[in-house]
Amino acid sequence: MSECVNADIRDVLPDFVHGQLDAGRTAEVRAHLSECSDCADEVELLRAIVASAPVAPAMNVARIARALPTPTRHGFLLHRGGGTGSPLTPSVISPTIQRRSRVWSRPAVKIAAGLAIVTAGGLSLLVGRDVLRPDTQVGQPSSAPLELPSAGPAPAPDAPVAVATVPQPRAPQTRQVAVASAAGISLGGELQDLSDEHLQTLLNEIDRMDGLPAAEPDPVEPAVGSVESSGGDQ
Amino acid sequence: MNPESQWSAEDTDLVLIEQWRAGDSRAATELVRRHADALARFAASAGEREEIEELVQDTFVRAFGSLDAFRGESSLRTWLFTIERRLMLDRRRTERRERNLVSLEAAEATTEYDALDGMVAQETAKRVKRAMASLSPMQREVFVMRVEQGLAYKEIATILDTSEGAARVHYHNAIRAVKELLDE
Repeated sequence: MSECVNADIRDVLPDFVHGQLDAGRTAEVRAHLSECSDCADEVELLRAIVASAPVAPAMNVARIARALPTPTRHGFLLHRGGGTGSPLTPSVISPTIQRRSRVWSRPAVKIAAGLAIVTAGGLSLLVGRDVLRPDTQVGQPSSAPLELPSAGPAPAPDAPVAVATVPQPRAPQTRQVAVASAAGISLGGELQDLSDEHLQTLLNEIDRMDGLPAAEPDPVEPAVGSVESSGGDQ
Repeated sequence: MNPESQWSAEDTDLVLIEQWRAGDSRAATELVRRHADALARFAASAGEREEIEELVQDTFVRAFGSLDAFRGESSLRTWLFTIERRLMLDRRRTERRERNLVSLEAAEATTEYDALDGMVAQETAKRVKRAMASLSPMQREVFVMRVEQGLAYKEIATILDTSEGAARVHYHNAIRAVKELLDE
């Protein structure tokens, strides 16, 4: 079975078979079919397919209509039952409100909401404790650069610097300096920029801290007087 | 005009919807009368064999429950087809493991096909069915809508959420494939 090159006609052959073309177009297709055996064969094929299409059962219109919701003056829907002639039952306030209330009344949703609140609270506590976490103290690596306090005397550029150097338990060759205080005093940038007085204040703050690491750290031997950049040998 | 109906063919579906919204439940009955058979044929063409009336009823209930979403951009019937198709897909997903859908080949043995013996050569019809069964799901769906239901490309595109051009291409590829299989 070959194909006619007249795509315009071939495009409407199903409409022709279903009698959906207007009179003018129908006459045009008929004229074409009288000359084109390919399209005539295609029409026969389409008719055969339509004829062999499965037959649907007859619908009970009244029964279906009885199952439909009916609008009220307030725009709410009332379901009229499933075709048994049952009295009206106000099953719906409005589709949107019903959907929302159904969602929030589900146990799974309630549990999920509770878990979300607990998780959010727990995360808030963890974030709050992160400032005081032992790993921001001497002997533990700091994951984020620390900020210098905005208040306080500006350090002299050539002032001697005291630095606590600590070998890390899992990466001894990596050394890092991190200093923080319970009051939120933090250091960042270059330690050598700090004055002796400022560093001593910070070390005093550190001494007052009671945070303990989860594991026993290696012995700490502060090397006062030596200068190492926190990122110098990483 | 239906003798039991107070509406004429000139009353559009939109008019009936407005009357239903105003509280006239008979308008809903008229809409069901207009479209129920087409929905049943659509379901049968798509391979549904059981509980077609329940499917059609569910389609209307779903449609009337969300008529606010119908903006009249397509015809009401096309919108109903779209809803019915989604329900059919849901039904098949749910029941896939519980029952075996009647395949196109099995449908050849149904009494409605047998009744066509005088109209169509049985062997040819079987070959056509086999050819249609070999199409891709999208091609077959477009082909059935276009040929068996006589839907326009625009309606098919709306129902399948695709473009009119894509629907046209699927149809022409499908008819070509069917012809080639019949020629073998």
